[in-house]
Amino acid sequence: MPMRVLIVDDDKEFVNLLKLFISKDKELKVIGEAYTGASALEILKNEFVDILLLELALSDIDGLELLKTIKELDCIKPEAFILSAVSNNAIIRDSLRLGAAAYYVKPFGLDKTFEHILYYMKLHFKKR
Amino acid sequence: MEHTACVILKCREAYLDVFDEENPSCLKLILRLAYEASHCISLGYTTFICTLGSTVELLFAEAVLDLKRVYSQMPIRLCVIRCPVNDYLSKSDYLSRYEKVLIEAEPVSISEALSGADFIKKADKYMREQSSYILALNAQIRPYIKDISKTEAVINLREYCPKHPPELILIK
Repeated sequence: MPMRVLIVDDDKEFVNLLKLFISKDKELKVIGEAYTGASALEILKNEFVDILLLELALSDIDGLELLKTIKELDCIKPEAFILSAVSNNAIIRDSLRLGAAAYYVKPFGLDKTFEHILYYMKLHFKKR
Repeated sequence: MEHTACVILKCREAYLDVFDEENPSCLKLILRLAYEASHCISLGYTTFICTLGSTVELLFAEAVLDLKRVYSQMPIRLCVIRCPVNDYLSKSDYLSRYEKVLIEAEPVSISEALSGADFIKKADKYMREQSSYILALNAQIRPYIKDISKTEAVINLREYCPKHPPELILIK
């Protein structure tokens, strides 16, 4: 069964690029896309998500706040991978403190990034 | 001017020393500034002007430079007006970042260089004239807009600044 991916980013072009890339990988399936923090939360409340791909700079709830809220949700928590333009060290530190599995600063190579994400997920599921 | 956005920092003296990245409010502000810069780019603004003398301005400049790296196919420019740095910014960890921004940004020099408050006034006037989008970092919600021919967005810094909690502002 493919891993279920939710993409949260207000850049529609980037979301489409990710969707196109992921569609070529049989191990992954995009089950939702959200352009705001609020709509991401709605999806997370109603859908089972394995992988959350998250940009932190959003129009409503910022990504750090979203990570905090997800921790408190009564559901199986997705693994959060931050894909963000923000390169500030304090933001990276706090994202990881809040439970993000990894932080990738844009621009990055999609091949290497997804190779790493899949590697992490396989290790993580083995531990489970 | 058509594609230029600027950042005006109001109540500068109240916010010179309150932004510290150990503080969660500051992290929220960093993400808000990153979002606002990204929003400007999505609206077609590719040139950003700001003064560079306080921590908040440094955070904004860094956000623009991050986006410049992401949207490398777009002609994004960061133009900075160098002004005297405050004590907080001159701390060593910020100072190296400040110098890095100065290397990556394009310098703007205003003729008839003035000092102190006059310099800031002159810089603000210059930035307003050059821009069609103004991002005002303010200490309170402004009940009026100076120039309706320009888009003006306001970030209320009190939301991000625990040392200066929000006050009840009555607008008649």
